[in-house]
Amino acid sequence: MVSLSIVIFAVTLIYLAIANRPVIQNRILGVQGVLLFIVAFFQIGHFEWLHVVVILGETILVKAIAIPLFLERIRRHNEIIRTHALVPGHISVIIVTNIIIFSFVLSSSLHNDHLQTRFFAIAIASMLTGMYFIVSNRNVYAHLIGYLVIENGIFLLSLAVGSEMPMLVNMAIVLDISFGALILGVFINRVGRAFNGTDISFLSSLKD
Amino acid sequence: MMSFVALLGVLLGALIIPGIISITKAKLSGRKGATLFQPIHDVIRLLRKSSVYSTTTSWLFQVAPTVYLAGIMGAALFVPFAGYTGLLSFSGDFVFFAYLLGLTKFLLILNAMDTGSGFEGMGANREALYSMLVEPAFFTLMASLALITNNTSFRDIFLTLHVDSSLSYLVAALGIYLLVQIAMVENSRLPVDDPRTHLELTMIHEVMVLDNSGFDMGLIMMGNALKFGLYGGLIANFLMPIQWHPVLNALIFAGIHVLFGILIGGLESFRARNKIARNPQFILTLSSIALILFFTALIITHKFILG
Repeated sequence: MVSLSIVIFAVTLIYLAIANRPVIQNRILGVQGVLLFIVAFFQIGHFEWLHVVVILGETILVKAIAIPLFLERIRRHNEIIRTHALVPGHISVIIVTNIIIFSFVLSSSLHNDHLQTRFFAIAIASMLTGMYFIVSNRNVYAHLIGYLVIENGIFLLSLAVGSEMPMLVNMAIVLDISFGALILGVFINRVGRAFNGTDISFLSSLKD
Repeated sequence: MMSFVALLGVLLGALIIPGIISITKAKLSGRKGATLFQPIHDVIRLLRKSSVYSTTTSWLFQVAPTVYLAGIMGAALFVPFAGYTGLLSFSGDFVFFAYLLGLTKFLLILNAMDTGSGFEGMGANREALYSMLVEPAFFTLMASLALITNNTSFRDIFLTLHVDSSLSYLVAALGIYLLVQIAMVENSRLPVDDPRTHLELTMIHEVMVLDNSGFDMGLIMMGNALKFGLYGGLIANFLMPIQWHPVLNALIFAGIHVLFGILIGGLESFRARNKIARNPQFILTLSSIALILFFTALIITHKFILG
């Protein structure tokens, strides 16, 4: 089940590369949240209610429900229909596929007893894809999506280096994501209100 | 005996799948729709008619529909049935299978170009591009299966895939997803092509056969239906438990064809057609997913060591 979820997670990265409609991007983020829950749930060696509740809150409630709903609200508020990428879709597919292959090859060359390389491979792929998504889009909204994909990669990385994180660290990360998304959301709303659009090229006209 | 069952299953699939797709689409859009056997009646009606040939066409145009159907029939002989071989089987038969389908496509493209029509040339151009793009996805999928099972014939691949059950779920899930999408592209269905479109400029497959009529058109329609049977048969082989009685498996085989038809009808009802420019990236995505499956196969077979 964990392997299947990880592979489907990799597939979502490829679909994210070609998605240029925020509605689809939100859905992909939601699916990633559910997949992360499945991965984290099956990774817990022992069943503890508190752990399950924390993971459920972090993945399903925050990543799969709250953040996509919040993003949808921002999208509607700013009437964002499409995020125009600087790179054509088929090139993006090839780049993201190469990122995933590179991550597999990199992970395969690592030999460390404390590292679960199957998580590490997709974690690196997710972080690099998130970064690529940010640099290949001019829309602030797409940058927020890219940031959240990077964060999902960091979540997987935390699973790669240990079966579970201290709960305090986990909760701090959830708080970090929520505030990150919130601040960027407010920023997008402000940009949208000031310039009647969320393209970052508008920001170049800002002066002191 | 079981080899004939496989062929019969594919033929049965070819008979019912177009009707099921049409019924599913009608029901989901709130229409009464035609009967299950309407596509068969349409083919019989066309087969009773004679063909009309333009004076600009050559013998190639007259031969192509027959070879098109014959090639697809030839490919149908390779589809296995629950651990039994198809009527034909040898090591590396999936390559032959793919190239037989490639040959049929090549003939249909020649058929379109032989008319000298600019529209048909445009359709042929698009069909050639999409076939070329989808081929890596099919071969990567089959290479992954061959790597995991250490076999290179359809029958042995599906036989071994069932024995190794724990990881085969993962492979089967991705494999079925890819085969459904490849079937949609190969049969020129949504989101790549829309068989209902009436605009020549947006047509792909339909514009290629604009000049075919009567008996020849009937053969082409039979070939299209058979392709659904082929892919339905391959998907069924992923899912049939080989240790079960062949009669039960025959029922499962038929049931999967019905589900395959409903799935295609459902997908087409809730899916919009891609812009023509977005089709290559959609098909490339299939190849990318197949590559992920290939790397998963490398991990399963310990060519890549991931902990």
